[in-house]
Amino acid sequence: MRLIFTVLLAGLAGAAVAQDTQEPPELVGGSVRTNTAIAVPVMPGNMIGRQVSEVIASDLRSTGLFTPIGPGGLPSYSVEEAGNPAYPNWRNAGVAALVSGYIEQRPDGRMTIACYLHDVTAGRTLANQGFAVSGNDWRRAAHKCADLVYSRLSGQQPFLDTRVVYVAETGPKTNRQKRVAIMDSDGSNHRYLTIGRNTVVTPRFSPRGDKLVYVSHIGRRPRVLLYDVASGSERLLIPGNHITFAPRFSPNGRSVVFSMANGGNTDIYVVSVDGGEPRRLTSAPGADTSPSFSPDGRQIVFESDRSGTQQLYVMGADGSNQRRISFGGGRYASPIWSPTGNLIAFTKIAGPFRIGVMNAGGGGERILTNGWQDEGPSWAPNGQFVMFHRTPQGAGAARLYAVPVNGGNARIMPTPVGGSDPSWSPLNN
Amino acid sequence: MKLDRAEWTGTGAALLFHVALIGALSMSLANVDSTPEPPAMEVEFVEDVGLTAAAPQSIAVPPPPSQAPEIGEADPVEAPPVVQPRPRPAPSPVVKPTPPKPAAPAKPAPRVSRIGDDFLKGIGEAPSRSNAPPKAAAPTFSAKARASVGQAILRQVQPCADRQPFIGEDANQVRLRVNLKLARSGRLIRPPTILGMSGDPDLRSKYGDLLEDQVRRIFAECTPLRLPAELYDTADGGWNDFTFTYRVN
Repeated sequence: MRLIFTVLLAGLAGAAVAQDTQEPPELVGGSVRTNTAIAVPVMPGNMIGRQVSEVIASDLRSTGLFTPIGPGGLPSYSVEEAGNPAYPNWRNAGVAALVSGYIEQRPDGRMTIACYLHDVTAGRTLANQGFAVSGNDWRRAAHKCADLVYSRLSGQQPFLDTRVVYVAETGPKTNRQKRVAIMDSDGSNHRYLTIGRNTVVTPRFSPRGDKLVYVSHIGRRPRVLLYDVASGSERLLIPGNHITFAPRFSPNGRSVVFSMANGGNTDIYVVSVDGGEPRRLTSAPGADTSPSFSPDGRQIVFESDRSGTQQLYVMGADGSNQRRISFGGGRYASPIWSPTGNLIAFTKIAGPFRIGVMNAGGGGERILTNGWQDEGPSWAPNGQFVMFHRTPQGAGAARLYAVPVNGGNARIMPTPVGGSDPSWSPLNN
Repeated sequence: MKLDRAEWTGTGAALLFHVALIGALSMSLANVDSTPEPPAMEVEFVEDVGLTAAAPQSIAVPPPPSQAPEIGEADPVEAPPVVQPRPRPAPSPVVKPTPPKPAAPAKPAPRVSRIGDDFLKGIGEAPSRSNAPPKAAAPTFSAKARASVGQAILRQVQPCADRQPFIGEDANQVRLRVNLKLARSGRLIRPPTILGMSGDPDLRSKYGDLLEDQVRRIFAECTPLRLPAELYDTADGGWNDFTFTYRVN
């Protein structure tokens, strides 16, 4: 009998303890795939306030995550209200977030653009930052503000204050002029870097965005050139008469990996940007080309036809341990390692040309686009978008597009002329 | 319709028999001893979130004694600990167990219970057996009440939680432990507090702020909460202080 009661007591005590330590209840939130409505009213304090807000709204729209409202049609507010808005009024406007701010002239002649992001529903400020810029650079401050909003609301790294270089194509197909052009990622501040005397292809930014490498056909022979963006000067990467092409910078910017044709074979080499003797990394029969470093600089992905068709391979940065990573059928070209290191973007050739991504070790292949001829991928610096060029079936010039890597529609990039071979810059300083 | 002789005879006999039966009943000839019925049990319906003691507090008529044969004296029993986390009760003196006596030989004692009179000793909230007028039970925040209140809170904010936007494929691997401090009005006294976060460190860094934003939006949008006032702050706790976990699906 005593035993029975002891067991009963132990059970009751255990139950009591269990009640005290029970797990708290769980609330499960939804994951609604909808764009967040953001009000972007005109910033007070300066005549350019409307333009600043327009740039911010346009940037946010380009991310595909938000539905910006304004600046037109929204009520104005004072400088004092920028940091302390009337949340109930904005709730009534049906928006979830508000981007406010003001523009202030500084004694040194520059201006400060203050940027605030508010959670209208919760009634609190999520982020705020001021950007001091010269009068001509107000667009950069607007991009920075948009990056602040994008980054805070998406959890992703910023990417809007960036530039793009590409091959601007003008003229008829039989006599097309190809020049390297540079622009902000929203298409503004567009200018040509080369005059078009020689056809140029595959411009690539350096990791700091201050230099480019590209291929120029000099005397009908492709040659890799190194270009300084600030000064506009250019020089041959490899002196002499070698056929060199498909260049890319290493992650530290101190060397360039490229292809060189020599004795009927095309292999991959690496050379210091300061000159010196190129070091050969591949030697297999066939064409090894389109090399791209992993972000940690330890590996290189490249394409090769050593197996009979174009496929993707990975090797150590010293050329060791070469192995194939593409097995999905069809041909694979122009691989590029993502800035986050986990993915490789490529051009898949299986009938049409499409842009796809796969895991860095191979496998997990996903096709992102569905155009007739999509090729030449380039990653946004945050690894969330891939830019490429699309050539329409039949007549028509190629245009630049950007597609979200996690799914979504490709959007056309605002270039004044047709373009190909885009390269997305790192985030501006 | 005419009745013949036989029918008249039968009808008369039936009438006589009925008169005799009524007479017999009137003289209590049909009276049979029976045990008194127990008092009727009162049953009342309560809401999901109810007080601990919803039954009558005292029983005016003692229940009929057990008629089971006595087979031994009841062992001493310590009452199970009452769940009263706040304030913590002082340790009760140890009840010295009485050594069990050998079982007495079975003898007919139909009116003695097997359960000792002290079987409710130690249960403070137990209904009194005295004839004093019933006292209203103090509300307690039992585990059941706590669970019910928790479900009521989550049920009320779920529509706002459902509206939260997608923030990332792997965001569902991060869980927040959130504490609310609520006023009697059902409004937040202060913004939700993040007590902790679980999941991969990189994902916590990436999604922690976004999930906290969602929690704040949910409780800004879906409050005040409507909860039973008597359970706001009891001796055992209450919904003035509520902790839950949050994740996205």
